Amino acid sequence: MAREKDKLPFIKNPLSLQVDLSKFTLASEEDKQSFDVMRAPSTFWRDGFINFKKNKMAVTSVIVLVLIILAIIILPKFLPYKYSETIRVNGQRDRTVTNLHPFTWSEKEQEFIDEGGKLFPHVMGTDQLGRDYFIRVMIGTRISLLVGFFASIIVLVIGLIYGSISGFLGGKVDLIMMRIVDIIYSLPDTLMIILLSFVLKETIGKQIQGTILAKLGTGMISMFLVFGLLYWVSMARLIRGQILSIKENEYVLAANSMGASTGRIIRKHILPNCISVIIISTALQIPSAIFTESFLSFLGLGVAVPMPSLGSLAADARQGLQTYPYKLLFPALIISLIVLSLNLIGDGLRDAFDPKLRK
Amino acid sequence: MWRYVLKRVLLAIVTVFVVIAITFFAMHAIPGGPFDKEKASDPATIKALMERYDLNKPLGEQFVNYLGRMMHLDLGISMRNGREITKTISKSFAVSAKIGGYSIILSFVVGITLGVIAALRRNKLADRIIIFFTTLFQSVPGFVMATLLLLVFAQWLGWFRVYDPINPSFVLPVISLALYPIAYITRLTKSSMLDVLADDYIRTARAKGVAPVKVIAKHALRNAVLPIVTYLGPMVAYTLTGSMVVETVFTLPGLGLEFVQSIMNRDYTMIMGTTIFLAMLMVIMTLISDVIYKMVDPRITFE
Repeated sequence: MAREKDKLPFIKNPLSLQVDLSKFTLASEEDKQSFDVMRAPSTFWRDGFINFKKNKMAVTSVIVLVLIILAIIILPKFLPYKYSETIRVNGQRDRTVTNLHPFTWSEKEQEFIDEGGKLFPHVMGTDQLGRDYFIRVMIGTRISLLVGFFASIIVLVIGLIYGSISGFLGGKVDLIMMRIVDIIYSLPDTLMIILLSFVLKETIGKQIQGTILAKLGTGMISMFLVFGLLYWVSMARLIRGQILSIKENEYVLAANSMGASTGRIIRKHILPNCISVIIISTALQIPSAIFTESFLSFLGLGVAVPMPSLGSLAADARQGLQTYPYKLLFPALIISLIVLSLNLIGDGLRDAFDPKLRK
Repeated sequence: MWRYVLKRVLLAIVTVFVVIAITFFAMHAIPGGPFDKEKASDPATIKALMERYDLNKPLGEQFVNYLGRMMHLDLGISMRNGREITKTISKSFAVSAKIGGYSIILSFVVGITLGVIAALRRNKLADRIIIFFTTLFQSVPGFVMATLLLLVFAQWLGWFRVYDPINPSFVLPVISLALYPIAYITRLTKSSMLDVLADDYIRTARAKGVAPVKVIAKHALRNAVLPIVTYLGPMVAYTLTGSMVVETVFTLPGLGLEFVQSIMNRDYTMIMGTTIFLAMLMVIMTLISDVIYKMVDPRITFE
């Protein structure tokens, strides 16, 4: 019996720390290679960028958007027409230049060309006041994009400040601040925007006269004001929520217990973790601002004449729609392209930068 | 449960009050009386008008009076045509409610159907086509869509008699009002359906041999549709603001057109009355849809 027991392999007490050397072999070259660093350490931004590049739709949208932006910056400088001025042939007024179809000439222009003069073609025709439609569409695109961009910046700044104060302070301040947000959030926003735009358009006209703001026009300023008053609430909610959930994480606790300052925690831990959400929702805010602007233009509350926006051009084009349908189609097409590509870029950014969705 | 409902009702009441206050004080902040631009600048006439519209009292007193009259469902009379605003609203809202109601039903039916198809045929051709069109419809402004539909189907093809004075066709207005919600509901249904289909109880149902149609209709769809109920509130809001666009494009005598015209005419009392009416409707519908959602989904806790 005793011999049988000796023949059995050596059974170690499971709690023993003694190492059975026979179980170990030297590592081969292949094994060593598997520990080599195969990929350079990547940063958050690089990772996101690489992911973003894989999304074909989003990359195409970026290209489309960049082309549009380049076009509206460069083209108006080279066009011989102005968005606010009636076309003049050889310095003379031309009555027949109104409502031309694309790539056609008025009688006087035709005469001028026959005499050997050179003119730039009306790529999109002219409008009912005899202004080149192509330049109006270009400037309109510029205005619409600017409105969308600045409106979302306003929303971002106010939302960021309000949301982070509320999230950091917590307690009663947070409670009161969030009740205010609740009420503004439950207001019917489109209705309030119409009402406030109407009132602001009627009121601020005199107050801004003579200042730089007057150049922007009452319509646009009232739109920015309305966005600043109403649309920041969802951004504030989002940022507060982010900060609250990040604050609870173990790494913040660890940093805190290691003696990191509040500033360092904000810079190194909280901001990098919510920046992607902030960027994505700011990007998605732009198309909604462009939509709101076009809706207000439809109601006659958008940008002030003679300044065009894509929305006001499309709204004006409803008159004489049967005869000149392209006047609606050109601005409508560009609005749709811009909104579509911004939405796709926003979705692409979310997929690329949201760490929770990453595989 | 009741605590939640009470809390929401309180928030709704506060919201309605804030809307009324904003509307009232904002409209009264416009410099100069509403009659400044009238030709009849005879001081006696103006004074009579001011008295008639209650404009010669202090603002606070005017506000209290306005609130008091609102309790008796009296929103005053239009400054342009002198008609009672509540009568105009109730008459024109009948048209808007008809179009809006049809369009809401249409969006839910079509949106849920398309969403389910897209989820079941994920990454196949049907899904791609549906997602392409919903993305497209979400990036065209409402009034452009309505105008294009009018141009193509009514004026070029002549399929619908939109401008018939006796019996105008409601098909195009309803469709143009429904396109955006359809796109939204389709995407919502698709993502919610995909979530549900990945759940354990679907696998269990399939494993024990429940017919595939029954799994989808009874086990998956029932749970997938729940979150869509919450869209009812925002959708009513969208439909009401959308009706401004659609009714203007198709010249239908609804509340939307009435509101747009009151803005163009600067009919102060009418703007106030319509804004308050629409806002109350939106707040109430959001309240109802939120409460229904909490009631039908037992998984949601009441804080």
